[in-house]
Amino acid sequence: MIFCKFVKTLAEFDSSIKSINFANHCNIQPPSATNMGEKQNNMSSKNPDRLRKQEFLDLLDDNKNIIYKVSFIYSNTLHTQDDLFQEVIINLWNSWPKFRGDCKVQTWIYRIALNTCISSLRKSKSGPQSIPLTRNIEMIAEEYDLSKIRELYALINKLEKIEKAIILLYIEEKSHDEISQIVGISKSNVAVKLFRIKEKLKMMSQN
Amino acid sequence: MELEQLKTSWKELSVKMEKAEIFNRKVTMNMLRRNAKSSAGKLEKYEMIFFVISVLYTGFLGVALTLNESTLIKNESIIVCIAVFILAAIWQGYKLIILQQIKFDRCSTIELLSRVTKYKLLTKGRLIAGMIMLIPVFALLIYFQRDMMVKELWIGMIAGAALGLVIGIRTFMNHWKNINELMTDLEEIKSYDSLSGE
Repeated sequence: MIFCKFVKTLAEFDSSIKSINFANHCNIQPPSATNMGEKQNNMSSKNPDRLRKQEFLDLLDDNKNIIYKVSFIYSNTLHTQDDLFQEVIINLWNSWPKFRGDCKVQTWIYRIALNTCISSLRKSKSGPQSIPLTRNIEMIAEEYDLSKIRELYALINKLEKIEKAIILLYIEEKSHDEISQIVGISKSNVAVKLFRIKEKLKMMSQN
Repeated sequence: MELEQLKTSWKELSVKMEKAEIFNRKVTMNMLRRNAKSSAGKLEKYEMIFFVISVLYTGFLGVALTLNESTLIKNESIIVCIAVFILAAIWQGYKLIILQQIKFDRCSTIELLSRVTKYKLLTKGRLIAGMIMLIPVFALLIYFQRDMMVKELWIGMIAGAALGLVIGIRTFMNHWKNINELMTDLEEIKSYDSLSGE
């Protein structure tokens, strides 16, 4: 009985996924000449691996906030912020050689960070020890801000996984175009979904 | 707190984060040097091991079937076991295909969530289907090997089955919460499907 229900659900799910129009949001375009030129210059050094790591660390340094904020939003009791932070870095590192500059580097980082956090493939106690973050969010926020941060976190945490991604990108002041690229829905649907999330948040804060 | 207030609070936090030391270059460099594996990579390795085991057992039992003289172990019993391992290999292969489609840098959020949910459902499905399938498989094996069944063997089998049932039910209950969470994710993905139809 349970198995039949499971098979039925899976079949329904399969057909519904096939009907979603992913609208070529994920197409990787040919590399831009400037980007590849920069990369090749850097790789021609005596120690390309070390240089590649340094280049990657610089990239992380410049965009650490994105990773930190996404992992903060998606951290829960099972997955700590440190766990997610580390997992995002590993996935960024694995995808770094394939990045060809077809979109803004921030868009690429948002996509990987959100995809990593949303997938929750990491098990709570498995894997190597997480990178200890030198500061946690409560240390960064000053004391009078703490209640605001906690309220903000509590509100966002009540949203569903994709809603969280949309609202995070919205409060990060990303354009509808960028949100649609990262999340994988059309621009008009971003507006519809944002309107619904706003209503939902309003209702939640009234309650 | 409304969305505009939320936006303001978030902006204030972002400004403070810019100034904070939240990224440890040395620790990260060490991690990259160690070639730490991502969770998806680890899962792929795990599924691959089970796939190889299933294929190897299918081959081994195939050879055993050709050499078997049906004295102690009946050919029918070996065929049942081969069928189980072929099914397991197909299931594992399918899961590996889905795992390889999980591309963090190329998929959109919805696309990735749908693939991950599908993979997780298949993993839970293996547990449920595996437990259910054990019943007819054992029934068939007992039937084909009925000449071998003495009283002691029956007692041992019944005790084993009871223990297996308890473990199975317990595991299933532990996974029930996760299955429910996956169902919620499915509902959310479906709501985006209906949104694109509007």
